[in-house]
Amino acid sequence: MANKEILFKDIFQKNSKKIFHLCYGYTGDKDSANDLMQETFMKVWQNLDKFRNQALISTWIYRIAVNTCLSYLRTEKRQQKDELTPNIIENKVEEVSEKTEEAALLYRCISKLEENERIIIAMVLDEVPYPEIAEISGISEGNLRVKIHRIKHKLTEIYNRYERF
Amino acid sequence: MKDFEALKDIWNGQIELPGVNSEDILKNIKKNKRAFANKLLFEIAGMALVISLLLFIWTMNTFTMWTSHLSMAIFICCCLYYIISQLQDYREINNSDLLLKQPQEYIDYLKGYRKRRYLFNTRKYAVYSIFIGIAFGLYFIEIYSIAAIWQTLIGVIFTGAWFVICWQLMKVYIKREEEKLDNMITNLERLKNQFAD
Repeated sequence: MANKEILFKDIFQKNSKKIFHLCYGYTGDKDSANDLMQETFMKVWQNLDKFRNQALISTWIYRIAVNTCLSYLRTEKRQQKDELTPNIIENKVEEVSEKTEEAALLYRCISKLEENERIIIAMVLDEVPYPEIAEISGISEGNLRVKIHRIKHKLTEIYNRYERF
Repeated sequence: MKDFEALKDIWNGQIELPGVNSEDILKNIKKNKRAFANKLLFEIAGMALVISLLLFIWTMNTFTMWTSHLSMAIFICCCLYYIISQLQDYREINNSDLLLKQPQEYIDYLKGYRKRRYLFNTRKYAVYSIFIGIAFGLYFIEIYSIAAIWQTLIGVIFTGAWFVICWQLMKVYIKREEEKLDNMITNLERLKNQFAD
């Protein structure tokens, strides 16, 4: 049990940030992202004994996180109600620093993408290798490259549109 | 105007950190596990108690009619069905192999699971209630033969009223659940299409 806890803490330390980014990108909402990340790592803990190095642990965790996100339809509904208007941007973005504001706007823009696009782009931004993204999302590498190209273009366009406000 | 590389810089420069740490998660895991085990134990213990009570009534009372024996058997079967269903559901949600499937397969599993839960919570529950009703009806046959008519009538009226209320509530509940399921299936279909290769 103690060994399992040590292993879990190590896995958490190495992967939590990326999983949080993925969940934040998916939900566009920090609280929901924390909920989803927590749920993901709870499932990681429950299945830790079954992990037999058959894949990279990060791929394994990402797969759990993606499936956890997909089953989290309630959150999606909540965030869909929040349309990205200048008023909301003004009220919601914390005035901590320019960096935080830009990152918050980027998350809000990601949340305007389709669900699978949000998942893929979060992994692209976190520099997950393409073969790993293909393995996690179940999309062939060739198709994935085409999708990524399209998503990058779409996201850049949305960001630039809203940055002008 | 920013290009994608600029967005990547923003992403890499973000200072937002997860709001939970591994200690919190471990604490929650233990808490949830205990709460869930308690809930399951409570439900099973409750049903076991009801079954014991029914067995006690069945063995201690010398029922003279076959209808009463059948009634007791139906009551007990309903209780056992409830326990088995709860255990099956518990096993299914803890089946971790599904979690590691590819998104498309996982979405298919989610659709199947939601449909099964819907059927369990609506149609199967309705059938379950009907059987309970039949069991009560059969039980009242013997009551009618041994008790005063007004006592039987009160029993029948109360049971009947209880069923009417449950039925009305069930109708509203089924309609709401159906809408929820349709909405969920539409969402899951949309998600599945997004992951189509």
